[in-house]
Amino acid sequence: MEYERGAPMAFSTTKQAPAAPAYDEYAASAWPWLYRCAYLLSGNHADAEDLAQQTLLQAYRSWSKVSRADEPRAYLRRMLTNLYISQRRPQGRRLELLTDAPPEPRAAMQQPGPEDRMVLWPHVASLPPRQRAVIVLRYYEQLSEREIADALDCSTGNVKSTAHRALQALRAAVGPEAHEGEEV
Amino acid sequence: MTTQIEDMLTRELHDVAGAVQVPPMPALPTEEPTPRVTRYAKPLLAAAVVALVVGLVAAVAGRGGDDKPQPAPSPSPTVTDPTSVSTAAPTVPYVVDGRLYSGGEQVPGEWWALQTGGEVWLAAQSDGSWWWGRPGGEPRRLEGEVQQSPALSPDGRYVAWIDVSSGQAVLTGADTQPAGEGFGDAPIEDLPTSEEGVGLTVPAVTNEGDVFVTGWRTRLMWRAQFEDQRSVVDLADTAPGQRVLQATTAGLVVVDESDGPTDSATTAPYLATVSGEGRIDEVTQLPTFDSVEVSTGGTWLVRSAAGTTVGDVTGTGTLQAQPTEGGDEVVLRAPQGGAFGNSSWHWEDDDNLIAWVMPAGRDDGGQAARCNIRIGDCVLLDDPSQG
Repeated sequence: MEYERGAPMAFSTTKQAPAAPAYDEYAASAWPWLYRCAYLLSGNHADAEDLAQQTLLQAYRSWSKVSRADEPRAYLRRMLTNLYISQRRPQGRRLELLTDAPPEPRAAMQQPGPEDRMVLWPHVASLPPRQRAVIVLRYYEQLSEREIADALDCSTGNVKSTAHRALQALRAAVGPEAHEGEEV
Repeated sequence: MTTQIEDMLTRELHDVAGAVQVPPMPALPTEEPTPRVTRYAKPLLAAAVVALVVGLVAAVAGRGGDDKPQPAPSPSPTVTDPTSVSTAAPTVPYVVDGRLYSGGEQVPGEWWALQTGGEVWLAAQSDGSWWWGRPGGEPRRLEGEVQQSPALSPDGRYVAWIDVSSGQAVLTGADTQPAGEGFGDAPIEDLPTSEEGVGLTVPAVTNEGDVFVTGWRTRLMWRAQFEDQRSVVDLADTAPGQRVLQATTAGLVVVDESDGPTDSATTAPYLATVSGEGRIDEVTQLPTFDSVEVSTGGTWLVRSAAGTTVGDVTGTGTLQAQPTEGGDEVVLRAPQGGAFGNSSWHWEDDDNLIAWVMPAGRDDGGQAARCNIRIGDCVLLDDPSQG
C-alpha cells in the first residue's frame, strides 16, 4: 500500500474513536490523497473538503471493516466515489432545475486558477458524475477497468461504455478548440 | 486521437491534483456524526439509541462473549418465545452472500440486488446482467443492455426495463408467467438514455402492468397491458412535482417534489393510487426511509431508517416495521448481533420477513433469517448449502 506520508496533520489524540491510534494515523496519511481525489471529482475546494471529510467519517464508522480490508485505500476510494455520485444528483438538480438552459461548466463558476488554462479539465468538470468518476479513477488513479468496476459497484462493461461516452464527449468538446489552435 | 486525449487527461489531472493546496485535515468527531443530507426525527433517534442499547445488552447476554455466528437459532433474551418463529425453509426466493435460493434450490451464479414478487425473482449477476426466474423454471435473461435497475411488479407478474443496446433508450417489459410474452417496445420516441447525466430508470411496474419511467425531467407512465398497449401518460402534466419511487402491494410509493428535488430519506413519501389518466391520489403518509418493503397483503411495511444504509454501509442491525396505515413501530434486530444485508429483506407473507443476516463485524458469510412481525423476533435459518 502506498499512502502519502507527508508531515503529520494536526489531530487531537484525546478523542475517543474505535481503534483510535490506527485510525488517526491512517486518516492523517490518507488525507492528502483523499482530498486531491475529492477535488478532481468535485472541482472546487469547498465540496472537496466536504467530500473528503465525509469519506473519513464514513471510514470512522466502519473502521473495524476498513482496517481489516486488504486495501483500505480501495475501501476509501469506493466510499468517496459513492458519496460523490449519490450526493451530486440532488445538489445538481437543485441548481439546474432553476432554468431550462444547459448547465454551465462548474469550473466556470470557480475562482480562476492554473487549471483554467488547461484544455480538457474544464470539460471534465462538465461531465456527468459517473463519467467524471470513471475518468478520474482511470486517468488519475490509473485503475484498471476491473478496479473501477469494483469501486463503482458495476460491471466492467458498464465502465467501458461510461468511459467511451466520456471520452466521446471530451473529444467533441475540445474538437473546435483544437481546430482554433489550442494546444493539444 | 484517443491516445492523445488519454495522455492529455492523465497529464492534466495530475497537474491539477499536484497544484491543489491541500488544507489541514479537520478534527474528527468524538461521536457518531450526523448525516449531511438526512435528518433524524427525535423519536427515531431515540428509538435508534434504545435499539442500540438493547441490542448491545442482548448481544452481550446472549453470546456470552462468543463472536462466532452460530449455525442454528439460539434463544434470545429479548423476546418472549423465539421458538414461535418458524425455522422452516423460506417459501420465497432469497439471497445469502451472493447465493440465490428459489424453491429450495440454489440457482447457479453469484447474485445481488434481488427483487421478489411472490415466488418470482429478479436479480443481477456479478457481470451486471439481469435475470428473472421462478421455481422449476430456467432463469431468463433480460434482453438487451439493461440500464439501471429493472422493476418487478409486487405480484411478480411483470418485469420492465430500459434497453440501451441500440444506443437509444427503449422501454420494454415481459410477462413472467410460463406462457407470458414480451411487452414489445413502448411507443415513446426519442426517450433519452439519460438526462443531465442521470440515467433514466424504471422505478416501478404495477400488478396491472403500468410501467413508470423517471429521469431528471421525465415522468412517464406506459400502460403496457391496457388495450392496444399504446397509452403513455405524461405524469409531469397529470401529477406535477410527484415522483414515483416504487410499486408495492399497498400502492405506489411517491414523493412530493413540488418544493424541489428530494428523496425518501429527506422527505416523507406517501402511498398512493394512480388512475389510468395519471392522477395520483395520496392514501397515507409514510415515514422517511432508505429502503422499504410492504408485506404481501399490504398490511405492514418494514424499512431501514433514513440515513442508516447509505454510502458504503453494507447492512443494518435493526429494521423498523409498522402498519402501513400507521401505528406502533416494531424494531426487528438481526440475530446474534449481526446485520441485515442491505435490501436483502423480502416479505414471505403478511407476518414473516426473510432476510440475509451477516455475522457481527462482517459483510460476508452469514445465513438467512426469518423475522416474525407479530412476535417481533428474528431467528436464523439452516443454511441449505450445509445440508
